Amino acid sequence: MFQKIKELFFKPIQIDVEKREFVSVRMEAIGGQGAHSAGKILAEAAVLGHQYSGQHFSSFGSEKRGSHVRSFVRFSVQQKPLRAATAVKNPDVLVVFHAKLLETHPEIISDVTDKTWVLINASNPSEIQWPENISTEKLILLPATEMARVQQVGLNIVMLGLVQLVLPEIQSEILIKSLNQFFVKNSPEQSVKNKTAFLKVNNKIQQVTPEKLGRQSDSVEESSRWGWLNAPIGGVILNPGNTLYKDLSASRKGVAPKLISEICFHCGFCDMVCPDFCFVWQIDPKNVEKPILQGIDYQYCKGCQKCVTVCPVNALVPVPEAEISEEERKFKIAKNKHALSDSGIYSENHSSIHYAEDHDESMRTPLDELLNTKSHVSDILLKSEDWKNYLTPEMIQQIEERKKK
Amino acid sequence: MKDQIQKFLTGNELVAEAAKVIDFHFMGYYPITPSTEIAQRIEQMKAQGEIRTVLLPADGEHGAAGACFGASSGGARVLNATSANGLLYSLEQLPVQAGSRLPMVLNLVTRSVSGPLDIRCDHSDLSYALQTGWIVLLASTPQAVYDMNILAVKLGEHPDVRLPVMVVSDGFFTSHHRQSAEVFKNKEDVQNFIGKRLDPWTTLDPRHPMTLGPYMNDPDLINNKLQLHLAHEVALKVFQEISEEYFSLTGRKYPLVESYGCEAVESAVVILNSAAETMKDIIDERKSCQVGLIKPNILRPFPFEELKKISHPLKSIVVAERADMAGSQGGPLSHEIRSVLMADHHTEINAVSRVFGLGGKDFTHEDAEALVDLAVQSMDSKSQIPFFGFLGATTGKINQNIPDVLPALTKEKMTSNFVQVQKSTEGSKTLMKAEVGQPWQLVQRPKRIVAGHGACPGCGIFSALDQFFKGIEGDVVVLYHTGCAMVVTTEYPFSAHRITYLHNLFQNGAPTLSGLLETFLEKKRRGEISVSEDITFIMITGDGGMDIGMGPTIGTALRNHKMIILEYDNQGYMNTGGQLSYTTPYGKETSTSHVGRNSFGKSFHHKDTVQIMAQTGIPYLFTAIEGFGTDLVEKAAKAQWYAKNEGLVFGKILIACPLNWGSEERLGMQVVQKAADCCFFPIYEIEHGLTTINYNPESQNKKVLVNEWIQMIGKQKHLLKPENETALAEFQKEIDRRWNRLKAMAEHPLL
Repeated sequence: MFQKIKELFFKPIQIDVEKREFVSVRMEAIGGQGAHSAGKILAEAAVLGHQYSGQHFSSFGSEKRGSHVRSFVRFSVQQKPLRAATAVKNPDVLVVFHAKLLETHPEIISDVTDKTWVLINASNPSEIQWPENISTEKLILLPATEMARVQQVGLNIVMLGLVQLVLPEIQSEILIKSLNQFFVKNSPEQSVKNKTAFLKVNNKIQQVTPEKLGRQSDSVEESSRWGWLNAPIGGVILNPGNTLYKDLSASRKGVAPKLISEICFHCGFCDMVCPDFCFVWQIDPKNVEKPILQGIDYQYCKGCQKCVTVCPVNALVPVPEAEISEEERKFKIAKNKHALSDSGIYSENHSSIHYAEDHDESMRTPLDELLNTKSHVSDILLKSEDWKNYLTPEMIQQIEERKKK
Repeated sequence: MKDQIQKFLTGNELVAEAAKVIDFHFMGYYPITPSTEIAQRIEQMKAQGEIRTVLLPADGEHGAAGACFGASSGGARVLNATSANGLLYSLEQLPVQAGSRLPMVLNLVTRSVSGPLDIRCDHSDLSYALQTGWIVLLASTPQAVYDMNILAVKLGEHPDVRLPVMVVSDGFFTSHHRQSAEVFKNKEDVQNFIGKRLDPWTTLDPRHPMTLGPYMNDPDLINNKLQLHLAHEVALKVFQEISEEYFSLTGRKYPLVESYGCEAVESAVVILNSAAETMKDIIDERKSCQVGLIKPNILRPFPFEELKKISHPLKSIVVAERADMAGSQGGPLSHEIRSVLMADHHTEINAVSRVFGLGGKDFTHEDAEALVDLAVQSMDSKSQIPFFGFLGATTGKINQNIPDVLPALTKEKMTSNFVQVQKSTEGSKTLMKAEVGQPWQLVQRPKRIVAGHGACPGCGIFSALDQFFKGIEGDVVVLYHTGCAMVVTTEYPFSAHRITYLHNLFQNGAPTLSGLLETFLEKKRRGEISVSEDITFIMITGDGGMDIGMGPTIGTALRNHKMIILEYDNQGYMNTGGQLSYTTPYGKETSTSHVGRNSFGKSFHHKDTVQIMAQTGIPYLFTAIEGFGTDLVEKAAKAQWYAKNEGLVFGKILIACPLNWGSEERLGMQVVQKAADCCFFPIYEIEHGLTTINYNPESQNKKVLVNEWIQMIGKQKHLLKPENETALAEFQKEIDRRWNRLKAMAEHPLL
């Protein structure tokens, strides 16, 4: 099936990009994939190699593998001063190190313009969740994770090779030199591998049009839900356990544990060592002596394989991601953000939350309720003009109506 | 002009470049994002033998500031770097330094002050710095960070100034921003510029004894403070002089206030540091709007006259700040600019203030445009623009109904039939004994932390915490210290905690939880909480929290509150990028104990926190490792019994940190097992002072040399190289000494 899609939609292409005077690049990645280093290497090639003016910085949270990392590079061939200490918007090149990011952080492609080359690490178009309202002619896919694994190099080296294809301003020899300087501690053999992987990219790229991609449904953005008007005071979170919304599958590096049910004798050792609470048990409240391990929730598994190490009967084995069937992936408590809110159903047996009771229907305070409640906040909203600056036109209208009453 | 070379470095890296040519005697520091990199880079240079500076990794920022104060009193050139709560924790030391007129350089890499905890940039920390008596220089670019550090030394040590100097750069926006920068080619040129430090007195001259820091009440203190004021007055002039001299050496100019595009304009935006650089793009782009930019390069002493001159011809002024002083209608800069205008009798000017970019919120070109628009509107004196407000706050999606994810756990669900604790007598010893069932039974315990947290793959914290919780019955309230477990479970608006959780900064968790516990007990006594309610209070900390928080934890233990303190020991400050903690093993490579020509890694032995805590006389202590045995579950059950019936419990669990140890993710349990096998991390309990070794690798014929453990750890195996033979032997010797002592304690009830 995938082969068929490939034949239909993957066409080897010749990329022809005209030189620009000013170039901005934004890399979107997951901590540990090397996007920060890739940005640094690219910027050093531009500034120290080509003597362009340039800048690089990254945006990251705490020092963890698996968090969202963004890396920004700007350079000016004309050596104009680059001063802005702000994220790259409307980039010339947008590099996505993991297709999953388009699902978990859909906002990363919201500023794609006609000029933007979108480069995505993905092996087939169906992996990609692309919103309907964004069109682009300049979309390139590369199975970079697989290439990096096979060629035994860092993912960022393959991704840099890809980036170079749409950056005629940067000569590949200069970028390779910058790359070698960064990995100066690597053995000569590794340097050869790096260079080969960097140059090989050309053979595997595929250009696709958005129509061929997976579709993204509208989703509730947890992160933009709360603002000054509705967030509980004190910065508290009154929604216990809502990390269940999160999808951490992108933390895996191509390998996942597979449960061989026929061998498993349900000893529970895996559940003792799993840092991510992925094991799904069937627990019969009437027969608590016999919990049965049903499967693994791949939404949360980060592929550390601690479970594989402790399993006394080898019922858990590490396999390439593709060998996990759809059937095996069904043990999901939160298929997407809607699955929870629409049906209010979650697996009773998930090790994280089993024994869950009936769904709590309590809702957060909407504006109308806020205005009905006699409080100083509602007074400010009703009396003061200043706060209009922070409200949407619809909200202002609601308040105006309220005032009339 | 002196020779310069081009570098492509970040703000933090350029502090280290400057430190290299300044040749500081001393640096006292404590890790805190985003300033930590400075100490890391300098420590790396030290390990390579490139610099001479003595580095002191303190037990907290308060200790670091104290160390710097001491060093400076002896005439050392001193460097420190901190951010946000680090600055606040050291705050009381800063006026001591200024009041004693002791020069030093502190890089404040700005970050939002907790709480809630935010690691990104704003100027809420800078606001506090303004009242310390220090000189405050502002570095808006990586280049300026380098230059200001050199200027700071000369300015602070000037005989008519004699003040400590802060160099303020924006966290991430400047500290992690890589740009082209020029640095001096020759160290001598910098040394000639800054000259030798000359002191009117020193604490290191026994032939000239002196008293530093007397007890000074009225009528004298006011005179000391007038001297301080005069030093600031002088500093303003001295800064201009040395800035001129620096310009002649480098061609790089730092006026007191930079006015950009202000010629013949009617309005201006006042904005600090990195945001001003972004602003310049828009000032250029919208020249026709007649709006300029005012960017002070110095905040203390405040360039009052300079600002008066620049603002005099304006019709309006917009002050945009990355800080608010809640309730005062403006951040500190707004108030100071208003006072400048008042002193100039410039009352017809329309002065508006906007708070922006808090907690690291990006200041975009669109935001800059909004400020220019505001400046244009405010030129019209009749315009009804609110004079104070927030730029970039969002309301939230308030018309959306969103249900909760999970219902609360009930007491019934959290009560099992597989965990039991009973008294048992073995010879003369009466100890508690726990039975907890098998792992397959334990899966029935609903998880108090749920899936979806953001820890690294293979992180040992969560398997260990879950094992511990498996042994705990009923309702639990947890308090987490700042650290990995806290950060990855509570990234707003998400929480992986299904039970009530609170955080406090990692100096202070133990007192916080003791306060909550005592409130619970008192409310029960008053009948305000049902008597049948019972909550177990558990504090969770990393080993780092047992450095900076050791004092308050000991205090809490001495008061013997009925609670549990649980330390997950990953042997370093892993949340901030793997710096050394006192618990880090001897010889381990961390980002503040590099291996190099002059260093084999951490130079002092690991802290024995359990033995320190044992001396407080609390009823129960234990150690454990993450693994698949039920040892930790049993200890949890016992811990709960002791916390309910007798008093405070302290437990320490060794867990693997694959990222910062350089060990394999899948082998976490094996690595910590080897730590127990080589007796680096013995598994034992202390009940009422009686030590019981739970796992004796000797008697089971499993004891190995430390070599076998450290060969599994990327950041320790360099000790196996021939050149580190002495260090390895020293490490083994200390492990053996502690193990033999522990065995003696297990044999003798009085030890």
